[in-house]
Amino acid sequence: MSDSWTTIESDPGVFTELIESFGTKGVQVEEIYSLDKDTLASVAPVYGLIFLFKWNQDHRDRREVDHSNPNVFFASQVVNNACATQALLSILLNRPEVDLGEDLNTFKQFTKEFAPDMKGLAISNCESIRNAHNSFSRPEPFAVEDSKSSKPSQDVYHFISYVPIDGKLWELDGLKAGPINLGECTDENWLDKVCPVIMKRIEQYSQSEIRFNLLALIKNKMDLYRARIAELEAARGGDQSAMEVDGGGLDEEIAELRQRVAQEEEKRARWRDENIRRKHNYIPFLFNFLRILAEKKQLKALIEKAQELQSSS
Amino acid sequence: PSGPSLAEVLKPETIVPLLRNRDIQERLAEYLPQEHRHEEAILELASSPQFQQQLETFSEALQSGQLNLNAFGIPHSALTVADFLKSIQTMSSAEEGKSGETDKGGEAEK
Repeated sequence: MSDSWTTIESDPGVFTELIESFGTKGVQVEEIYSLDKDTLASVAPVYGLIFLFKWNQDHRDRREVDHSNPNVFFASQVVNNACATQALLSILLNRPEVDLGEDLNTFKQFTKEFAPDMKGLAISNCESIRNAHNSFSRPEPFAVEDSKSSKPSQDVYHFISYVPIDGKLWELDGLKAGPINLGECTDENWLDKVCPVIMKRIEQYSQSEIRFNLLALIKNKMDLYRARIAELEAARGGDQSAMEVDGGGLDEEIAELRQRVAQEEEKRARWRDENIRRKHNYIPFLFNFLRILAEKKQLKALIEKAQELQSSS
Repeated sequence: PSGPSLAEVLKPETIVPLLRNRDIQERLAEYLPQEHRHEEAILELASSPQFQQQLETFSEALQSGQLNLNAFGIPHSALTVADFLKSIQTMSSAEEGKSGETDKGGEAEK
């Protein structure tokens, strides 16, 4: 089905490449393992947070929705599995400083006056967004006779976004009737305000051992480091006398930043490799590998291993 | 059928030594993503979660009988991993026998 949406793994490498394939620039995604000040400071500036959890229909939420600010981009989720992209758009489209790229800019303008359900529909109908999202579909490596999933009890996960807009902190959940206003905040203190809200959710879920994770949309780290290096190099080059005084300190900072750039590059290369593997169908590889082993009379050992494991299980 | 999954049988420590073989690498290159047709990437693949995950999915489909193995030349039925590996062995031996005969035929014509 060409108009269906695939499920997406909640992984920083996947989300970063997805954002880039929308045409958006200067944004990357990092997983947050701990909600303390140091962790959050290490990824600042943060554009918004995405919270992922196992969705539970029984969970009741009596909070009121707030439609008072027309600048808030809020879309109802009308298609299954689109929630990863929807959560990303809830942050990107609500952050005017982000360079969205042509496609998302056009989309934002086009849907400006739409009601939430129409915005949701517009997302599901937008071919470039859907194609970017679906490029992360796991390969269907073989013909499965039964069209139903082999795991009918497969858990359903849901993504929601937290983002500061016009001096208020918002929770944007496409399955709710509208945006939820979490109170006043500034661009500087919104992370302090959002932590207790997320902590409360985590506590609630960890009691019932429900899985969750937290992703942060942040400013591209490599851009930040490179800009800072350029700044320091200009300062060093521009004033020779200053260099004599604290040139050593500058050099040290530049060296440290270069090291961080190298680490980022390494991480990006790893993400790229992982994403290539996510999208590739390895069944022909597997099958031919086993045939070559059979031909080389080396399959016997594997068969014996399988039988051994079988009898011991 | 139950029993071990392919991921359990094809653990990295089992297949990495086999994948170090140059001949095997060259013959498998065409089934790899273009960017990953070199030794380092092939060895990394063996322990990558993405490959392990596909092995698990394949195993599940194999063992539950949902898989149509005709495309692989294996008569369709629910199989244990051991049975699946055995049928690949049988198929390979049968082909060897056949190609052996054709070779002989060629010789005779000369």
